[in-house]
Amino acid sequence: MPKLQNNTYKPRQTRLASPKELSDFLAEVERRAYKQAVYAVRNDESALDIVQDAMMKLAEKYGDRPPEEFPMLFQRILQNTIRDWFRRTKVRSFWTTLFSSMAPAGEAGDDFDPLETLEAQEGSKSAHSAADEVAQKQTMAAIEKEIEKLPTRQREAFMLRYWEDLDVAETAQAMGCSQGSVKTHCSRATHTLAAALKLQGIAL
Amino acid sequence: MHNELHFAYQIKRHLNESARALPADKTERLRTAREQALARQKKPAVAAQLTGASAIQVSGGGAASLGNAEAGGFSGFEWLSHLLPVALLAAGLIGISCWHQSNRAEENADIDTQMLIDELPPSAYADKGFVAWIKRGQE
Repeated sequence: MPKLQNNTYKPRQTRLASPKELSDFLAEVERRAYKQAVYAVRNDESALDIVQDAMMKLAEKYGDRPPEEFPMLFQRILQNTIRDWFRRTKVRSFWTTLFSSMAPAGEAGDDFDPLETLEAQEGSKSAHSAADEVAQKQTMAAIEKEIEKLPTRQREAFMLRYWEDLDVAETAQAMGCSQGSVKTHCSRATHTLAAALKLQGIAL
Repeated sequence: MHNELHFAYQIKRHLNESARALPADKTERLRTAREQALARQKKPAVAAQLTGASAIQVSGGGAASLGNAEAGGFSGFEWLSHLLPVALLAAGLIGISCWHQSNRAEENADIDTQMLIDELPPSAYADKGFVAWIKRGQE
């Protein structure tokens, strides 16, 4: 008669994420994820939907993975969700342009203005002097505009590598490309940003 | 390289600031989204396997396969996946034998036709039985 004992059982992975760990991870990453989506799609509502989608996919499909894997997995899902959004919008815009002659109602509010979100926060910080705050806001708005202007892959690489603090290997895995191209994208993005900001007289 | 890192750090500082300054309605939406996602988190497979193992242990070796209802359903599928190729093989063999038989019948019919169409060998006219058979067919 076979006898099963507890010590014969070996767990598949050393440490798996508890709901608390996933919750903490998402809480920590969600604002940056939202901002990343906004820089990519330039639409607040769509960005929120994208982040929600990505969170759902991470929890449903990879909720049982070790927490160390979350950053890379989540970033990969997020970038793919953004790409899917562009694909869907392309299809939708094909149909809308096809029917636009019948219903010429233009959709407004598509462009994103970073100043909007910043102005909404006005008055919340009294520690800075007004002049400091204005300067800071202008710099932030300029940076965000320039990041929006970056080519998609460059922005992705820059964001993952320097904002999300993934290492080169993780960034490559999340973007589905080689480590060499991650480095190339990153350095190009950095140079483009530096040149653009210098042109506007912004020194960091 | 050092310059690049320093520059990236400065950018990161500003981006963090802008992420911190998100309006309340956005952070609220993000919080709801997070909670919805957490409600549907995939539970670690280890926990399920552990409970399954303990059930087997309690019921003993003889009833081990009955301990888990999910395992029963899975073995049903396995049984089906074994049966399917066998059934396909049997159907194939039957098909081949049918096809072979019909071929044989056609060949025979061909030979008969050829025999009837062909000119008769002289000896056939000497065969009384053959003449009688021809006549019977004409009547």
